[in-house]
Amino acid sequence: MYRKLALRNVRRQIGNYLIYFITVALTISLIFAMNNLIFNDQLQTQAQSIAELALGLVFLSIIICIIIAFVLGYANAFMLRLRKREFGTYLTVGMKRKHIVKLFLFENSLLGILAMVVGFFVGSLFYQGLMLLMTQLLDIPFEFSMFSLKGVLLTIGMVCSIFLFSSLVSSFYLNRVTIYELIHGEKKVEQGVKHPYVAMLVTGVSFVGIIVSFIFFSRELKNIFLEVDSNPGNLVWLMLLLTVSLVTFHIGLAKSLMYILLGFKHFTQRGTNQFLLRQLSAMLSSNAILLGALSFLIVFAMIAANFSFLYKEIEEANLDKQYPFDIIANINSEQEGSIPLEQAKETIESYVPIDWSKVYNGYSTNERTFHKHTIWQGDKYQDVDMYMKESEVNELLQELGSKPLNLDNQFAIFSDMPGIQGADFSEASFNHKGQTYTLSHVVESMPMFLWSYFVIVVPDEVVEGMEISQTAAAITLEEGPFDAQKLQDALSYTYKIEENNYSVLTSDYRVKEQRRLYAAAFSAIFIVGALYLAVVFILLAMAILALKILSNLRDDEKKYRLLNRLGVNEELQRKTLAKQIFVFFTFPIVVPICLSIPITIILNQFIDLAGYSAMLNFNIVSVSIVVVIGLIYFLYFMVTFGLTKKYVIQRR
Amino acid sequence: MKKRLQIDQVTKYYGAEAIVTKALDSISFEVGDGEFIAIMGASGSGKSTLLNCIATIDRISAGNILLDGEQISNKKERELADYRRDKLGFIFQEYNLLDTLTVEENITLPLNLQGVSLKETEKRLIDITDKLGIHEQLKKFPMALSGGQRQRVACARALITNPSIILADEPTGALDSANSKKLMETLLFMNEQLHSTILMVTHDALVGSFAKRVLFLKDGKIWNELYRGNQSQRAMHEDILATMALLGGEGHVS
Repeated sequence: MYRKLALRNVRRQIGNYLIYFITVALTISLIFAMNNLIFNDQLQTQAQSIAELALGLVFLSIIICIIIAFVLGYANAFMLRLRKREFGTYLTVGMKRKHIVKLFLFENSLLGILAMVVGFFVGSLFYQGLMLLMTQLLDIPFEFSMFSLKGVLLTIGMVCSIFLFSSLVSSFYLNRVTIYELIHGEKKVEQGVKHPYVAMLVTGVSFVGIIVSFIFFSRELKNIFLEVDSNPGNLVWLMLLLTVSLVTFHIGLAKSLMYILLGFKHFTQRGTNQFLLRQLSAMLSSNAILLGALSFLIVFAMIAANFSFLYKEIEEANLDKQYPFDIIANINSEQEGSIPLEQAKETIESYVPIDWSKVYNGYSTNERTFHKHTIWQGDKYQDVDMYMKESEVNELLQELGSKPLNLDNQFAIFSDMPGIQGADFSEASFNHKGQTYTLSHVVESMPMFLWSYFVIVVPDEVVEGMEISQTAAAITLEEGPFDAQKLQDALSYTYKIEENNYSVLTSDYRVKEQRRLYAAAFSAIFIVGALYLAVVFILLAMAILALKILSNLRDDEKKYRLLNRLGVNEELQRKTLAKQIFVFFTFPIVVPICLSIPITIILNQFIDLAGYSAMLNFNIVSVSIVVVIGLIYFLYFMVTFGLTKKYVIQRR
Repeated sequence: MKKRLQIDQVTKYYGAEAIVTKALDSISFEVGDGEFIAIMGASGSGKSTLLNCIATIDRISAGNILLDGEQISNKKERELADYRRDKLGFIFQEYNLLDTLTVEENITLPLNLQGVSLKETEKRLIDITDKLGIHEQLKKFPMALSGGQRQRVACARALITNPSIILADEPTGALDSANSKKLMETLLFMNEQLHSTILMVTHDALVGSFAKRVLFLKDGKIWNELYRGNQSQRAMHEDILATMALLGGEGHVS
């Protein structure tokens, strides 16, 4: 009998459960897609960092799972509230509590199984989509991906745990709630907003907090790039300030905004405005903390999505800067085990033919005269000034397709470090054999030719008599496939540190392709992980807002019935309801969308400071992220409005 | 006396196909300006159906309903909403106040819907709340009031638009006897001093005795009609009880 009743209930309540079901199915599909991706054989073998990061990703999935479990527990409470009277009636006609719990659990299991089936089906599509994205990011061919048994089992385990947890919470509630409470509900006494002026003050102070956190974040970021003495820990404090300010801003605003608007009598005394503001005042102020938390989640999702893309872009741009040639060697011949250049060339040739190579040197006088003009001065820094011959630099530049230098008794400064912007070489000069050399120009985005913060490029005769401090080699390879990881391994060696008996694996040769593959895999995981987190957060935020509205259907229905009796026509009822839901839905998203502007400014500042402004423009990415969030939001709004309208709007 | 409401051969069927119930059976009567009429009858006699049809919450199957000489039974949905807003005042058994609005906001809501100016709204609010003695409660929320006070707020809301007719559906249903008496005195005051036309549905003989005329419904038809005339309320109460006894009804003996 209970089975029949549960089946009938699920069929009848499908409208009420639609939002709940969509959210559960979508989150299951995301977990399914992610778990399969983590254990995908193709990725595991092709990208070493994925195998290394798999454990971290499983951990991320578990964290998300715990969050989902709590949210679903919360969602179940809404569903129970929606059906209080029904359960109360079951109890009054003599049904035992254990049977009601059984009925509810059976219904929940039915929904869970259905959601899992739909989730696996949609998740299979997501999985192929994610694999397409991953293979694009990793630059490997896309092929139809089979499911991994581990991934499927992990998903089933996670989904069962989520449902078990949320069912336990609901059973606990059903076992304890009184019949009176179920039938009559909690009688809440509407008292209006307490201490509205305190709430206004909190809103104002929090607003200042948000602005201050962004201004100081931007300033601190600049300091990190330009002044070495800055403290990156300050960024964490500023993020914390932003988090707290965001939450308190929404709490304060939720409790004071409608109070302020209710003061405008000419506005409130028009049509249903007063009713609308009072409805919103009650909804916003009783959900203030939740709305603050949701707003923070959305901002966090936006920042995570933005930064993951930024990371990938920077990583790619950085690669050309740090690895100007296919292989860069900085040979440390004094180190035991170090591979000499000729031997290394033979090894390289066994993998892929060498197209061009050039050995060049870094010269020094063991002085730090030029360092005194930079931020790398003081006792903390031991590096000495490093010189390079104009002719050697020109050969390297020519190979890179860049314009050669023409130093006429002058010198140039080349650096790949953003910190060079803080240096002032205008007073710097030196004498060599009676000739004075002055600064020609500073190149800030120079590729890294030597291990040095900057190099002084001088006419060839200047380095006569200086000692060779570093020997480097640039190698370009012929086109063709080769196993970059194996080549990098072949060019590596270990040496022992006697004092603590450690063995260190190192290489004097840096293979660009190996680095590119490693970085691409890492940034691909970073992007997919951040997007996964962002989409789950936004889905959950949306679901909570929608369920909050749906759980008040009965109350709203009563109120709109009264409005109907007082002469509010159907169209005005619909408009009022649309405004009510729209404002409640948009309340936690307006600030995050506005914050996308300073977030983009800071990202662009970061790009600029890191020296990639010519290569990257991040505005499009930021706008796209806002548009995607907006679209998901709109979808949930429309579904919620459609469902609510059906129940609440009164027709004769 | 000017005719406020005319009910002409009104019939109402419920259900479809095989199971059809005739809730109202060719009912006709008129309500004059400033009248206070009670409609009484046993459960299922059709009194609430009649009130709902006049309130345009329910449609009639046949006949005509005219308010201030205007046919309302064939109006469109949008026009009906305006009709309810401008011509009717409601008092319900369960008060039906919006718990999120203050007393003041509840009372002025119909004026906001009519688009009445702020100045005029305030003037009418002070006037009506002074008369009904609820001026002190304006800033409170309904949940903070007693049942009697809430029903007075509902009366003020029904009165504030100066409607053609006030429809009261079991207005004392949720009140104790002391508060019921107070509410009926308020309705009487509204009728005698403020010249409101009131049509009230009740099954309580004592409550019905406050009215100037009582219509008794049975099986969807008008079965009997009592006029108070010059007789005392007590005498009217006795007459109602006697009629209810004949009707086989549920008159409350107080």
